[in-house]
Amino acid sequence: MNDPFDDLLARGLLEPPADFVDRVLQRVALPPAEPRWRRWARDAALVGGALLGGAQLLAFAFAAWTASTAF
Amino acid sequence: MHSDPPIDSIRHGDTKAFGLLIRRFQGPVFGYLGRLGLSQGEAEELAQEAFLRAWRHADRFDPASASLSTWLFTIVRNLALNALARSERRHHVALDDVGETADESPGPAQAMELAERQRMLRGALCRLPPVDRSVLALSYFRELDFAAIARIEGCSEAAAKQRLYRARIALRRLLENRHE
Repeated sequence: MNDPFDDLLARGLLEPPADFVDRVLQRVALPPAEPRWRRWARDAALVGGALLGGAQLLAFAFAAWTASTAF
Repeated sequence: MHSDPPIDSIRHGDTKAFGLLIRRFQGPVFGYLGRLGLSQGEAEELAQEAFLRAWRHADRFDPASASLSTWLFTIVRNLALNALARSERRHHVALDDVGETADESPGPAQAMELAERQRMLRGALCRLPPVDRSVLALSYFRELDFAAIARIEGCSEAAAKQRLYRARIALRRLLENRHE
């Protein structure tokens, strides 16, 4: 191959920016993104808990109404 | 001869050891990505992603089956070739993208000549098939022998040698045609 081009290829054409190591290490320090399945599980637990709480509230209200109208 | 950073420390979340790994390999990784014909911006993005994957999957590295450089370059190569496949466009490189290698403070005329040679070289590289280009790009990293290059490329040593021969012939022809 032409020597000047061979030299250029050997030198690599690109170089890392001066702050490259810091940039990568900053990204390493960030908490990893929450996986999708965990988001689903969290949302399902929230909805399930709300439904359960609502049902208990209704049951309490019904029990109170039943007790007050029994006599 | 360079010594590899302690992979066990990296596996245990030691960011200092990981910093050593990045410092050790950032030059060769950028050299490889540049020889693939990628721009500075694309190379920075891919190199960051490759090092992050190495960090996240350090437990998958098996020193008994491959060297650290072979393992890391397999990650870099797969990411780079996927990116090249996604963007089927040929890279028309602006002069701005090749400025960082002119590091010997040449005069304006020399700098322009160097930038022109880099532009021509990158244009010719981008016309090679990515798998041939990849073998050629890896062959300039002196620490990788043909067995390692073949392992990174997922082919036999004979196939890797064939690809390198083909790439060098094609590149020479492309550059000679440009000169005429």
